[in-house]
Amino acid sequence: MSLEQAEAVQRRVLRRELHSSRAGAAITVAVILILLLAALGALCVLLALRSPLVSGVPDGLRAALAQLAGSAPPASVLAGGVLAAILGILLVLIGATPGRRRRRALPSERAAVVADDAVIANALAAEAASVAGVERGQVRVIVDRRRASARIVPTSGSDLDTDAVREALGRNAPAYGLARPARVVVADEGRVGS
Amino acid sequence: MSAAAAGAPVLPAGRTSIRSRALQRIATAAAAESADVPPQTVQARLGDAGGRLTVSITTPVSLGVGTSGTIVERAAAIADAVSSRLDSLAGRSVERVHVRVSGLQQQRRRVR
Repeated sequence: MSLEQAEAVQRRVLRRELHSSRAGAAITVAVILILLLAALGALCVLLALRSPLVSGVPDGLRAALAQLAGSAPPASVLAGGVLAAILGILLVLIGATPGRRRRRALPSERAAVVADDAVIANALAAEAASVAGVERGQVRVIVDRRRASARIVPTSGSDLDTDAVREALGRNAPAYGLARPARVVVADEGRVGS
Repeated sequence: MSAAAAGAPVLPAGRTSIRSRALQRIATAAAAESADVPPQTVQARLGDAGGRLTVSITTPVSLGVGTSGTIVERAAAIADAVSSRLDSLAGRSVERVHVRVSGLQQQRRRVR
């Protein structure tokens, strides 16, 4: 396998890991369409053969349509329409949104590396707690796609070197797949014991 | 132990955390000592004001042999003792100490 091929494979694997699969929705829609078209095909064939099984169908359909034409649509038709609309919007959304998972690719020379955002948040929180000299439970980190933010509850009466924390987290940002260094916020109220 | 013996002591990895219960005991003991009363009669409450440590002490003070100063001066001494002890023992800087004198005690010499 050439280098380019390997890189292509890696890109594809990463993409598959970072985005959720649309296969389920696609297969469901395809199966439903196949069933509907098969039914329609069977009907056409039977009609062409003038089979007695379907002799009443064209007239019945025509009558039903004629009944619908004049008056306001009955509740069942309305409900069906609304359902179809919701289903359609859902499918468009599934198709158009990127479907990103809460994961990110980490820079690596040798392999495709993917980490859950929760893992990144944990690592940042541990780092922040250690640099700030507070308990792990006093740090809360939120990681979103581009940026993380850490909120630190200080220990009452102890100094908290916010800049050191900011710097420590900023140093790690690229390795953790974050485009920008983490935002560091110190809570107004401290905690008496640590 | 050779590394520690060679020069400055090498700190082992890890951190020390001090629970609020321990801080509260330190404050109680310091106040009791300064007021010259038994620690059981002292109440200490610790709080936080914008990330700074605040202490509220309720204690009787004892009057008698070897004590001097007005009650206000004694209260100030108690506040100072609590603040400096929390700083020296636990490394916590105290923003303010509120001392409430709950009564006066006659000091008795203990017979050993």
